[in-house]
Amino acid sequence: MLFNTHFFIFIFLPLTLIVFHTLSKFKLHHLKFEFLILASLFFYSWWSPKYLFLLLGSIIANYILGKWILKKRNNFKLVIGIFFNLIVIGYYKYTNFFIENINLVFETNYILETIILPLGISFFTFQQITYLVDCNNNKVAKTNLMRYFLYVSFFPQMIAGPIVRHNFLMPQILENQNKDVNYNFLNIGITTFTIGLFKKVVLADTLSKFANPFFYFSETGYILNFFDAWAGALIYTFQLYFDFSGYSDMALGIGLMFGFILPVNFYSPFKAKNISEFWICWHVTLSNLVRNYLYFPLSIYFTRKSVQENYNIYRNFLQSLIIPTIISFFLIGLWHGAGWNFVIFGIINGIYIIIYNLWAAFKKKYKIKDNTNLINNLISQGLTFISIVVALIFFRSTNLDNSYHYLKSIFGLGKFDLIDIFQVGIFAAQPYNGIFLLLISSFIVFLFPNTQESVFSQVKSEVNKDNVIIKRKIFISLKWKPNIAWGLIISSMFLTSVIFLNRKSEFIYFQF
Amino acid sequence: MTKKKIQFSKIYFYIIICFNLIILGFISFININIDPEKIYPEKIKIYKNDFKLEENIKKLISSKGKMVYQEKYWNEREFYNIFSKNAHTAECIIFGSSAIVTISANQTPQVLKKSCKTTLNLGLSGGTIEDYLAFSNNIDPKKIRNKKIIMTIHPFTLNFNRDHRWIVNSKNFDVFLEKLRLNKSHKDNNDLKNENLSKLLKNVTNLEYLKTSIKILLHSNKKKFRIQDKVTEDEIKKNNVIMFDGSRKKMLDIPKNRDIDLSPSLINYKILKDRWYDESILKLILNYKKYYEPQNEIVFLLTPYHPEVWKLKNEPIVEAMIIVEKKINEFAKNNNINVIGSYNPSNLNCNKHEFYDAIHASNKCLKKLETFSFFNK
Repeated sequence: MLFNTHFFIFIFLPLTLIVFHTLSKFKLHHLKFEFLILASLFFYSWWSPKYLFLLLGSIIANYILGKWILKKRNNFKLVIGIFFNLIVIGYYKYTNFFIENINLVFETNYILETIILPLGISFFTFQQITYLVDCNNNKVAKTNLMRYFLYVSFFPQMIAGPIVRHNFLMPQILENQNKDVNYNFLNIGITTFTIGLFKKVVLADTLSKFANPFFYFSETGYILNFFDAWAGALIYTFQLYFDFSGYSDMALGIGLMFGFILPVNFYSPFKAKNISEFWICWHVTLSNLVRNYLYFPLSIYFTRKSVQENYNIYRNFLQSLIIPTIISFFLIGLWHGAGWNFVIFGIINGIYIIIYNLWAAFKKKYKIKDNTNLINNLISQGLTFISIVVALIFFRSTNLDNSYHYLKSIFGLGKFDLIDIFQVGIFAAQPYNGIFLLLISSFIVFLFPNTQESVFSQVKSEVNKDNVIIKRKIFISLKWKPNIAWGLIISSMFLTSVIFLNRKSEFIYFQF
Repeated sequence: MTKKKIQFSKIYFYIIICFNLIILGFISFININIDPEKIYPEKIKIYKNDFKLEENIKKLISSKGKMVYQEKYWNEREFYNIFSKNAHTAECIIFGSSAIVTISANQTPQVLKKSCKTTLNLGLSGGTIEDYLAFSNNIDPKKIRNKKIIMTIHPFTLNFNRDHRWIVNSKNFDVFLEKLRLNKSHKDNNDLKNENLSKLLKNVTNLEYLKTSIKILLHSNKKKFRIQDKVTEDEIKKNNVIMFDGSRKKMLDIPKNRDIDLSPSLINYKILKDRWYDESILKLILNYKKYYEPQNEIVFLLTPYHPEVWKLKNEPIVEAMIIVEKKINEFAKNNNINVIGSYNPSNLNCNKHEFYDAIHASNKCLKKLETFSFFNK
């Protein structure tokens, strides 16, 4: 079930909320979480009931594995647990990709029926891997099977993140067990959800109408004009931004309506002044997971080895920075999709990070101070943004050939027509609308505070303090307050979103 | 939390709920009652609206009648979008611009009768390649067999963005591009299964549905749109007339010894100097051909320009016609596509009295299209 459908907005969500809060009002607290689990399973099975068994099996198996690890912690048990999860995700997500590459390399012709990728498998599998690692590190909160079920299957976060750590959500489940409705949470939840819905339905879906033709044409062999290629790439970048940001807001908003604070997953990444900051703010929970569970262990391991073996500076640099970065980003790329274009997307970002770290080391060595004036900031922000726009071509294209084809146009190696500037699709037919959309998007993305800064920060809770990813200067201050004016603004946004809801459009991150 | 704060939060909550309930309730009331597509049960309606565009077009096609309408109330692309859903009703489906709107193999004077027993004319004013692609979204290759898809290649057709009116059908255009890219014509069953329920839900509050409902309510379109067996000359003069096969009825008399408007803006309509054709569009047409073949055939059609236009050697249109005709014939030959007609009226033996104006040939001239083909020259 998609958050941006009439069924979800007008039937599933209100009914689930009413039942949940009624149970709470009548002090039937013991039933409300069981109900929430059932609702979440229904939500998941709406897509395809047969994969519900996969989800159930995965939850039960990981719960048992967690218990087993907790009994007597050792790395061997953890490896078995991780291996089990990787086999499951490997089968569903990467088998076809593996066979395709075998056929390509060995010129064989193995044919495998297409394996359908179960919805949210990357998210719930990785969430459970973190659980197993945390079990091994003795960092998990007290749990039982029901609570664990809720932790994994809680519908706002199950199918497209955020990837929630056990010790983030479980204490809240325990705490909320005997609590009544918190109207403030409910209001902030509705507001956050509405802002997310607006971003997705009004902004991202409108941008997609403008962006898709550029990529479709490029994929059918059409050579784009240089200006068309850039217009398409920029519009797609903003589309992805509002799509993912919208989804993340909606997930946080729904969580809050049920009294749960979920971790922030998206924190104005295009305001980043360097690529490292970008990856701190883009898909925050995945970045944290890879950083904490893969990059740091690898980096520490190689640095130690480097010190022990007394490697020279270059080998040390290679082992403690380049190898862990490339491995981490290779996996981030592969996590996004089974295709070489995703792998290249990851590796390009890895290279960006290495270049940035080299630059940081250079500045440190030669004591170059960071100049934080407006122009410098604009240059660093602009450079970071353009680098991302180029890398996202791989993310958007369906394969490497198409990415190459599009990149040729981006770098002016296709057509370069200064008179007939925009030639393709809706952008060419309505260039002023297209440019207006780009300007509005830039305005919101670069100057507006994010939902966390303007709304979500008003959730008064210790847990929410972790959600302040980075402190930035805010150009346009928009502090939400539960008053009549904001009520009318949010109502208008909801109304606009609902009347724009006229086509099926999946969230981009659902495919992962 | 203080008591005052909780109270305040409730006001905010109620504002959102009440505001949305009232407005959405109002929109739903209009959409359900007017119900342009007749998807809601009649029992729940107060207002009875018995007009349905799609039903009317189907009625027009089956009754072999004529539809009379006023342009200011209707967008012709709305009609032709529905006509394109009835591609199975004719042997040949013709895409093109205003130069071909009178073509019909079903009625006298029969045009293209050697190639087609019956035709469905999807010609439009300002019809461009984007329109062809948008309408093609309604023509499922698995549902049509042994059809000829006739693409009129005007001197401007092999370029994108030569007209903006196709935007009305931009959704179809997007979806068709995706189909072409994937070479896949059918939706999967899951999509179809959920479509009916979602259609009922989404149209309750949908903006497009609301716009159509209001249009019906305000203009009561039914009165501006009628299907009849015969049309008088007066009706043809004052209104637009669409025949059951999509072709248009125009006044057939062409006054002799009149001056033809040869102003550059008219004759160079949609022509940009030095941008005669876009090689990539030819690639797209090849994909298009693959998508519909082998069950169906793609044919190119070229329609002539007035002989006087050909005398204006310095005008871009003349260069465009020469280059595009040469290119399209070469492309057709390499890809085994039949080409009917020519831009040059002398190739078809059309004289200056057989044209409505500089760029629109009459049916008398268009009847001769099949006498000239690049392959039988």
